[in-house]
Amino acid sequence: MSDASLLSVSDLTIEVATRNGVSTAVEGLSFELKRGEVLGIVGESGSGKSITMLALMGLLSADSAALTAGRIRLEGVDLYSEGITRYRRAVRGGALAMIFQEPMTSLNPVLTIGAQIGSAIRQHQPQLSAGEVSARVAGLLALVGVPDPERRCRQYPHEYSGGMRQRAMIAMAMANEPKVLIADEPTTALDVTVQAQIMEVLAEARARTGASMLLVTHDLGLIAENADRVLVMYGGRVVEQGSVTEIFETPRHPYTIGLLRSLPAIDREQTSLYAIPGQPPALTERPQGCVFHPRCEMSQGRSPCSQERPPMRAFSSDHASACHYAQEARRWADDLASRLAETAS
Amino acid sequence: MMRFVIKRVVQAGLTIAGVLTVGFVLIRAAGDPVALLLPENATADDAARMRAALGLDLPLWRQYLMFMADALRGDLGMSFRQQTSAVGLVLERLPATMELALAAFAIGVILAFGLDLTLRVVGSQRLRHAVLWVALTRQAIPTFWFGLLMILLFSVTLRWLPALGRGTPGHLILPAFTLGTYELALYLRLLESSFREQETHDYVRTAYAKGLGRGQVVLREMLPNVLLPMVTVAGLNLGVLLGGTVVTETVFSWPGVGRLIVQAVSQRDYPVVVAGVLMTSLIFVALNLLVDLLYAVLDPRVRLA
Amino acid sequence: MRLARSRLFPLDIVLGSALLAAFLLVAFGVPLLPIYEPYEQDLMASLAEPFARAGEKTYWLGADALGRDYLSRLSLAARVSLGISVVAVGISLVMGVALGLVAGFFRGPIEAAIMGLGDLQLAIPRVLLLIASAAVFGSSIGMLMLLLGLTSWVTYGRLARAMALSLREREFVLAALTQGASSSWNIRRHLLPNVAPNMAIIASFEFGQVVVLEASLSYLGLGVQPPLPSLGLMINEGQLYLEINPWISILPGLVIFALVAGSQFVSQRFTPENRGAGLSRVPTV
Repeated sequence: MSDASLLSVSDLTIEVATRNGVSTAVEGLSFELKRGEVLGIVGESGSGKSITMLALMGLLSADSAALTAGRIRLEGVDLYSEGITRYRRAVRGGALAMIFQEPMTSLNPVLTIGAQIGSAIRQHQPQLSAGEVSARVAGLLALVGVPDPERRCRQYPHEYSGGMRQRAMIAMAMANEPKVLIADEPTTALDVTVQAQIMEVLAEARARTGASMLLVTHDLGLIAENADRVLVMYGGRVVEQGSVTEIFETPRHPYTIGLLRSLPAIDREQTSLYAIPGQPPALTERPQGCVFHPRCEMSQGRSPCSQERPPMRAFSSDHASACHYAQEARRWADDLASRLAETAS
Repeated sequence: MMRFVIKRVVQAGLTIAGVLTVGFVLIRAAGDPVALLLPENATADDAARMRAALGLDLPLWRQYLMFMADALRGDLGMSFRQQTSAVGLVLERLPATMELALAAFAIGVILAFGLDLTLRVVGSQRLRHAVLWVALTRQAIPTFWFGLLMILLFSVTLRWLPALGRGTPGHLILPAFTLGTYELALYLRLLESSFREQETHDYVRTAYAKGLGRGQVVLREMLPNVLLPMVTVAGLNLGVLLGGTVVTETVFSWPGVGRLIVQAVSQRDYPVVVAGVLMTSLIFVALNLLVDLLYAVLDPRVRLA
Repeated sequence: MRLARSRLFPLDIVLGSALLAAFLLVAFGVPLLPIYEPYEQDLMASLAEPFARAGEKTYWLGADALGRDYLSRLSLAARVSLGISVVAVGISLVMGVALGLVAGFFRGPIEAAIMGLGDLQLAIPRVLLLIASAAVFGSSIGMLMLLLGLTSWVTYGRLARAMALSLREREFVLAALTQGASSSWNIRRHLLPNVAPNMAIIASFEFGQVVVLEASLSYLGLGVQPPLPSLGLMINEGQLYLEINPWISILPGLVIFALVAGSQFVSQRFTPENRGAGLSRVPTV
C-alpha cells in the first residue's frame, strides 16, 4: 500500500438477502483512494455501487446484507477486523462521512436542522460546550451557503427546499472535518439548476478541509467535471478503472465505450446515440464468465467471454480493464463511432 | 393550527350530539317505562298522568328536543329503581372507574415503554421477540378470564390479595394488573410495529452515519417520531380501556360505572344504563379531543402549518 | 457474518394451527364420542372433578353444578360461540365492505353520512354499545349475531372506502365509466376483487375480537341464555365454585384461548408489518 493511500478496499464481497435466497451483490471489488483526490464511481443502478458505500460506512442493514470477504482499510486499519467495532463506530461520521441520495427523506422530520447537525458534532467532539456547538453549526451552514444560518438552524426539514436540505446534509457530513467524504448520488434527486450549486458547495467544503471524496453517480458528466479518477462498475464488479482523461479518451472496455457513446456530447460531431442492447442483469441472474457478455457487441459470442471471468489487466500505471479482448477495444470503439455517424447522416 | 383546532372542536361537538342521539334512540327503544314504574294496582288514569308528567304524550321530535335540552343541562333522567338522577348515580361511581382505568393505563404504558426501550437499546432482539410473543398471547386471553385466574392464584390459592371490592390499596392490585397487562400487551405490540416502521426511514441511516450509537438513535432520533402517532393511537385505545373496565369491574366486584351499568341492565333500569354508556363515551370523546390537540402542539409539521 | 434464511414453517403458523386444530377437535370431534350428553343431568356428579367417576360413567373433564358432562358442554358451547362469531363477522364484513365501497365510489353526502355513522360508533366503546343494545333489544342468539355484526363494520368500512377512493381514479375504472358501465357493475367487477384480500386479513383479526366480545357479553349475562351453553356463560357459572372446583371456569377459558390465539397467530403472519414493509436502515453494529 502506497503512502498516499488513505482508503484501500481489497477483494470486497457483499451478499444480500433477496426473496429468492442469498445473492452476491458485489464480488472481488478492489480500489484505492489517495489523499485529496476525488474518485468517481460510475455504474447503472444495481451495479453494487451504493451498497459498497454503505459497507465502507459500516451501514449494511442488519437483516438484509453482509460483508462476507475482503478488507476495508482506512489509514492502514482494517475496519472489519475482530474487536474493532468501537473504532468503526468512532470513524463513522468522523473520519468517514456520507451524503445520501435523498435529501427529502434523509433528515429527521421532527428535529431541527441545528439539532441534527449539532448531535453529529457532539458525538465526535464531546469536549465542546453547547455554545461552541451551536456556533459551529451556524458556521457550517454558512459554509454550505445556507442564508441566515442563525435563524435557519432552528427550522425543521420541512421548512427547507430540496437543495437547502442537501446543503444541510453536506454541512452535517463536514461537521467533523472527515478525511473521506462519500457522496452517493448527491444531486440525482435535485433540479438541474441546483445540481451545479451543490457540486460547487461540495468542492468548496473539500477545499477547506482537504477531504478526499468518493463520488458515486450514474452521471458521466458529473464525473468528467469533478473526479480525478474513475471506477466503472457493472454487475457487482469493477470492469474498468483509470484516470478521468484516459477513461474518457481511450476507454478499454466495451461497457465504458457504450456508456460514453450513449451520451450526447457538445464537442463531438453530430452522431446517433448508442443504446447498449438488453438490460442490466438482475441480482439473482448474473451470468457466468464476464458479467457483461450477454449485452456485449464486441464479444460476438466468443467462448472465453461466457466461460472465464476476465482478470484486471493494466494498460498504463493508472488504467486497467477487465476485458478478455481489451486490446481490440479501441478499434471497436472507432467502428462504433463511424457506424453511429453513418446512421446520423 | 387555529383552523385545525376549530375544526376538531366542532367535530367533537357533532360527535357528542350524535352520541346523545344514540342514547335517545336506546331509551325510546327500551319501550314504555310507565309499566315498569307504576305499582301493579295502578289505574289507566295513573298511567296517563305519569306519561304526561314524563312528556311521553308529546310527538317524538319534541321528546327528542326535550331529551337533548335536558342532556345539555346534565340531566339524563331519573333512575327507575332509586329516586335519584341517573347522572348522579354515575358520577358517584366515576372516581372508582377512573382510579382503575388510570392505574391500568399507567401500568401498561410505563411497563411497555420501559421494557421495549430497554430491550431495544441494550437487549437482544431474540429477547424482545420473546416478550412480544408473551404480549400476543396475553391479547388472546379474554380479560375477564384472566382476572378469574388471578383471583384463583392470588386470592384463593395463595391468599395474598383480596379478590372482591374496593377500599384498601390491596384491592386495586388485582383488577389494575388484570387490565394493565392487556394495555401492556397492546402498547408493546404498538411500539414494536411503530419502531419497525420507523426503521425503514432514511433518517435512521443518516443518524447512524453520524456515528450515533443504538441508544441515541432509538431514544433521540426515533422515539420522537414514534411518540407522535402513538399519541393518537393511545387516544383511540382509551375506548378499549374504558370498555375493559366494565368487564373487569364485574369480575372483581369493583364499584365503578361498569358494574353500575351491568347491575342496572339486570334491573331494567334503562336511564342508568344509558347515562352510564353516554357519560363514558363523552369522556372518551373529550379525551380524544385533548389528544388530538396535544398532537398538533407536538408535531412541528402541524404546529407550524 | 452470514445471512439468516427465513424458516419454512414459522413458529406462529405452527402454533396457531395446532391451537385451531385442538379447538376444532373439541368442537366437532367430541360429539362423535359415545359420552356426548350435553343436557343430561346427574346430581350425583355435581361439580365432579376431571376424570371423576359417578355410577358407571367417567366424567373426563368433570361435570357442572347440575352434573352435566363438562366435556360435552364445552363441545356444544364451542360450536355455539364459533357459530355466533362466524355469522357476526360475516355480517360486519358484508356491511363494512358494502358501505365502504359505496362511500368511496360515490363520494359526496352519501360518503359523509356513512363515515359519520362510523365515527359515531367508534366514539362509543364497543362493549358499552353492545351492553346497552343487548339490554334494550334482548339477547336471543339471532339478536346477538346481529348486534355483534352491526357494531363491528367500521374497521372494514374505513379501509374499503380508502381503497375505493384510490381505485376509482385508476385507468381501468375510468375506462369502464366512460364506456357507460353502471356503478354497481364497477363496484362488483373492479373494486370488490381489489379490496377482498385486505378485507380477509381484517376479518381474520376481527374474528378473535368478536369471539372475546361474545364471551364477555355472555359472561355478563347479556349473551347466550341458559340452558344453551356458551363459553363466557360457563366461566360466569364457574366463578361461584372457584374454591370447590376451579376447572369449571378454567376449561372454557382454555377453549376460548385456543380459538382466539390460534386465529391471531395464524393471521398475524399476513399483516403488512410481517410482509416486508421495506428494508431496515439499521446497521449490524
